[in-house]
Amino acid sequence: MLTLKDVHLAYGPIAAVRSASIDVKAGEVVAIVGGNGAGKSTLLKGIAGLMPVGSGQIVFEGEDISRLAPHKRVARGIALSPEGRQVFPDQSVYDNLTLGAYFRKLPNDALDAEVEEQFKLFPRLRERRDQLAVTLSGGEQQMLAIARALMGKPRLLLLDEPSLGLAPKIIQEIFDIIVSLRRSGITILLVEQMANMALAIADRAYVLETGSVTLSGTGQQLLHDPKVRAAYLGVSHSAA
Amino acid sequence: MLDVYLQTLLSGLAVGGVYALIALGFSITFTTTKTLNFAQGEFISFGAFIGVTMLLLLSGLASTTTAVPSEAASAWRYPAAVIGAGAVAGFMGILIFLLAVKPFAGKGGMNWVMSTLGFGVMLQSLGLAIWGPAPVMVPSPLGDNVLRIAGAGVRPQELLVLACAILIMVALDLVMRRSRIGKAMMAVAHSPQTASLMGINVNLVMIGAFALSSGLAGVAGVLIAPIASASLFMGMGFALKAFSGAIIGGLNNPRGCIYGGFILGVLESGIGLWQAQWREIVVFGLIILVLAFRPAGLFGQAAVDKV
Repeated sequence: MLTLKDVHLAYGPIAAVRSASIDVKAGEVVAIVGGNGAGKSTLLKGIAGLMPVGSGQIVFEGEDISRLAPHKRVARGIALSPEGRQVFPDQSVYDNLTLGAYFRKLPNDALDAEVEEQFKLFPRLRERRDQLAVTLSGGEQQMLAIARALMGKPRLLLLDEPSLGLAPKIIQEIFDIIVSLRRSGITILLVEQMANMALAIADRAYVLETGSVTLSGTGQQLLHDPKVRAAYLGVSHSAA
Repeated sequence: MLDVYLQTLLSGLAVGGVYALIALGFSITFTTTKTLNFAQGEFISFGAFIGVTMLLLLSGLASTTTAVPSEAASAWRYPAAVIGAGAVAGFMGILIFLLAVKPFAGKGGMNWVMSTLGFGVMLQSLGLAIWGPAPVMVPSPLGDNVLRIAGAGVRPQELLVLACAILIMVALDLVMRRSRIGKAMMAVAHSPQTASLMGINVNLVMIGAFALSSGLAGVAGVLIAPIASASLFMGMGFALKAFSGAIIGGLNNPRGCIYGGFILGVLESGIGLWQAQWREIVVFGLIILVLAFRPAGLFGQAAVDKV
């Protein structure tokens, strides 16, 4: 479904991702794990079109989208729930959700029906429907960011650090939702610092180190890889 | 004495309405693109002269004169001139965005300040070549007979300007808050990157913002022409006052900019009643005072650094 061939991404003269080749097949949950500054978020930005691709190719459903503007990639079926959530603070939960479907130009009743679908998945957002997004808790904002991305009816959902800054209980809730999304048939590319949780639900995973892919395999393989365990999981999590 | 105050208030509100329209224009480009059109003054002058030209052409008169006869502004011709000037100025706004702003926007640096100023100088020279330097008297479509409201003498054009300004701003406010395109504009204002993730064509929204902002300046030019008379040098003063109004109100808050424009107009007119020659000194002194205590303006939100 999505293939990255030797993709380079750079902030001016500073390379953030070097020669990354990644494959995501339809229906999979693929995780990208790695430390701070490894280039994980940059990679997702490159796929979403927020970063220009220096060299290499991004192919989505057989078409090269490397030079496509971000709003056109959304229309092709790629949605990003960005790092740090980036909800629109001065707009209501309902308006944030409808913005996620902006490009689909739905009539009002169809739009309401889809907002209702998201409320079924994220019941907490229903209670906050008319509140400004800025008043939500971190966990609720994360749910809103994911729901907003889903409003675009993506075939590929990019999730950037959905656990960032959240309490363990909320993180579990978010991961449960990711698992249920996979069951509904959405392909997911997940970037996470919480490597143990990401690997546990991923079909396949890549390890990114200083901008390069250094390891890849199934989620279970990487979860039990001694190098990964030492670098990203810590001893206390190794019991998993 | 009360009638004098009322008269001062009404003419202050009328000029303030024009400031508010232009200030709103500044706010629209600032919130969506983080840039300002420093040729806004020339867009006001250009708008006035396009209005003049339209009035003359629509009534079958020569296209240059020093005074537009009052029958040329009658009936449908004046509204047509307002809309026409807004449309032409709006189109020029698209040009200035594509030629003078887009190449520099979002790249840091202040190149767009120089390029929009330069665009304005070019526009003014072009205007002088077309229309010449002489000011043109423009009649009000409602005539020049002074109306009496509770003893206060008011020119009908002042009421027309105030009514048009309020109507336009209420309509725009509704569009911004209620419509999908308005919410998309708010999204772009908050973060162009995140807005693009919603499938919003950010570039198109920014072009629209410049067209709208410049169109407002053009409309303001035709509205104020019967009061100030059209001149290619009139725009600068209005744009500077409107910009001050926007700063007082808070550049990042469209409603605040509207209030700021009205406040400035009324203040100016009130101080003029007291000591005309002190007007500018007091007005700009107050602006500096406001900014010293409220750097983000009276109604602006201070920028909060995100963690």
